[in-house]
Amino acid sequence: MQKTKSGIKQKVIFIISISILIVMIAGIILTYFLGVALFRNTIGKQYEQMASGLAVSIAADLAGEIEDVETYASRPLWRDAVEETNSRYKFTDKESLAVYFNDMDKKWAASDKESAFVKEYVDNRIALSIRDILKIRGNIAELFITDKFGGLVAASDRTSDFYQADEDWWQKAYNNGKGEVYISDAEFDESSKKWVVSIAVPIKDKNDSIIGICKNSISTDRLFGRLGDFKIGQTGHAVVIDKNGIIVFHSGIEPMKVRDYEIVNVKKLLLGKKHYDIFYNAGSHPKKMFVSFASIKPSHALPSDTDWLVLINQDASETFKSLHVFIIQLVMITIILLILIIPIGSFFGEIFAKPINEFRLATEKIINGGWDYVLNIKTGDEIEEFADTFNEMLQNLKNKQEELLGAKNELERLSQSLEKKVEERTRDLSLTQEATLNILEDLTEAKAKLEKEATALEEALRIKSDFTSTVSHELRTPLAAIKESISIVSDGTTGPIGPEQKEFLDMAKRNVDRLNRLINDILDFQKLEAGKIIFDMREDDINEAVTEAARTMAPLAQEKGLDLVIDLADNMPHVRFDRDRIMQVLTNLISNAIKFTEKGGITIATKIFSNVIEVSVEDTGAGIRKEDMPKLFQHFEQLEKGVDRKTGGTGLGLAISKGIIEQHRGKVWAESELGKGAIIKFVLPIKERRSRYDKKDIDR
Amino acid sequence: MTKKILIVDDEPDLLDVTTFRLKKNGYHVLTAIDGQAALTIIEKEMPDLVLLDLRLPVMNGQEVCKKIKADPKLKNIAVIIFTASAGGDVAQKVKALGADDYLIKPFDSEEMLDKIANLLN
Repeated sequence: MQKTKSGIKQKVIFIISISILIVMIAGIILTYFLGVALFRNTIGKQYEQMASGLAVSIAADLAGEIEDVETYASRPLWRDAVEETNSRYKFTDKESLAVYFNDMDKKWAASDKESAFVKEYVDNRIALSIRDILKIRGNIAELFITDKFGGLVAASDRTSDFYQADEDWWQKAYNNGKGEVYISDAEFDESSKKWVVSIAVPIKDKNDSIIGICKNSISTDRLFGRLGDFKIGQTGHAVVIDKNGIIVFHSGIEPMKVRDYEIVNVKKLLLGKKHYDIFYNAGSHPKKMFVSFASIKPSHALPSDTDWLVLINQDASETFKSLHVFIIQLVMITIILLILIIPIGSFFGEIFAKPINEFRLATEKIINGGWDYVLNIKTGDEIEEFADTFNEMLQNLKNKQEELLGAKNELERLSQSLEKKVEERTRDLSLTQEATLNILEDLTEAKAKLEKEATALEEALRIKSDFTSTVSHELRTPLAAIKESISIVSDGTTGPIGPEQKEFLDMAKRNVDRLNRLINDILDFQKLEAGKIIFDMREDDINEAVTEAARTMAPLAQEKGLDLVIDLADNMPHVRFDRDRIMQVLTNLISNAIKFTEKGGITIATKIFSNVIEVSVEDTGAGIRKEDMPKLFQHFEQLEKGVDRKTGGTGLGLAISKGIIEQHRGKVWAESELGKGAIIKFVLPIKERRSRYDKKDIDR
Repeated sequence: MTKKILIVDDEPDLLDVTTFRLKKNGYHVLTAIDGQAALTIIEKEMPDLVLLDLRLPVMNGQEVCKKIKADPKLKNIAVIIFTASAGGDVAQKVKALGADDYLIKPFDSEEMLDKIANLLN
């Protein structure tokens, strides 16, 4: 977590740098190749035009010179002088002329400039006019005229020979008497010590016949002088070369001595489509040269082997300097951009990296438990959206975590309290364990003792029970014989009896019945006590049992003049009871009520409570004393000794009733006030499955 | 035709009293004091009805009753169980033995005569 990575910024810088580099390099390369071609064409055309302009100017100058010479040659003074010279020849045959001119040349060579012979030609009238022209024109190296045979007529200065017809230019200009303008190549004039271009024109008479030749040598400085002033930049200059590449005119360089370019180069130029080219270390140029050219096209034909070209030479590096500067500028811009990339890239990189760093910070904080951290990114784009979602997620996580923490604390608390409890219990247990063990020992002993006692008790009970039932059985058999004997006598079966005998026999019979009832009750009570009575429990309607019991007992009540009223609840639910046993209870209760009531009546009522049904037998008798209440349901407790001999109680009735009701999981009790009658009530549970009924229902 | 009734009881006084009563009421009465004797008499005399005590010497009443009701020749003889045992289970016990009715000692002579008359008609 401590290591902070910052790759994004570098990546952004790298990507931007690469992009710029690619664009710029492509730009430079494209610029260079397209630019060079375009530039070369443009500059080439431009230079070519300049060259062409120069060539035209030079041609025009040359034409002007020729025109001037022709004008001089047509002067009447000169013509007359030539015609006069021609007329002085006494012979015209070749041999005589050859001898004549041979003598004249020797004489000319022997004579110096100041000799009369020479002066005759260079100081004559014509020669003076020629010198005037030279003065006016200047820079005309030499001007002289010959007659029709080539002999000198007049010259601006002393010529090398007298006889000129043996010269090539003379023959060309004379052209076998037809006449032609002759222009020479650049040549060195010995007499003027200058490089010149010579022009020779025929002198014609009125009939257009050639009478002589006029030759004018014009210095190259004059003819091509305008090229000397031509300059482009530092190295751009114009020259004139011939078709062999020899310099005809170059400012400051002697003509016809130096080769400007090889013939190959010249041919390449002349044959090429474009009138410009680049030469590398060609001719006298040690550098890469940019060359454009134009041919000089004079009005008259130049000597057959002479072709003048105006070249504009420039050091190519200068020519393309602006292009190179431009490219250098591009490269510089690229470098500057690349340098600028670092801050720019940092800026853009920061834009991308900042929110990511924020995320990283947030994550770190969260890892260290800083759940309250909220990302605050306002980039207004997907990152901001992401941050919002992140915050939302964080909030959810936080809530979940708090819940978990709460649950965990609760769990810890519970677990602690549980541990504590377990500890306490363990301690208690270990303390009590010993005691328990002791108790267990005691209990085991006690149990063994109890079991022994229980067995003995059971045995005693069994003996008692067997005894009781045997006794009652053994009592009944003689009673049956007694009863039947009384009955036979009483019925009169053995002969008639008087009313007194009858009365005593009836008394005997009643007491037999009472004794029988007593035996039955004892047996019942004993069986109830021993739990030997099997109850025949069925779902049944208690109202029906009550009605039947009332009906059975009705005659007894009637006998005493008592009302027997039944008040039954509607919708009595069926409850589980042993009908015979409950009938036994009901008849017992009703007979008791009748027995203790002298006037008024007996009301038997049923009621429904939530868990129990209640049956009550109410009388209007003497009531029960408060102190007698606890004894009511005890066996052999008769509160009042038999009032009615017929229904004399056994003292077991209520005790048996109580036993029966309790066997039904019910309860029986009495409510009474002395002198205001008594009410005996019992309740039976509605649902057997309920092991207990609510106390409030019973304590009513 | 006079109906023949066998009384089986080991109590001579009760046997005498009952015999007297039934004879007075026009029945031909036979008596036996134990179960074995009772069965012999039943097979020999074919009584219409047997008043049978349960507690008997030699063979008890239950067995006698079962044998009567199991024998196709004897099963039509009406049997009234005659017992000193009281309680709710007597009726069930009687039914289980296949007896026709029962009387609990001490009994009312009218009740006895009613039940006998009932079965013999």
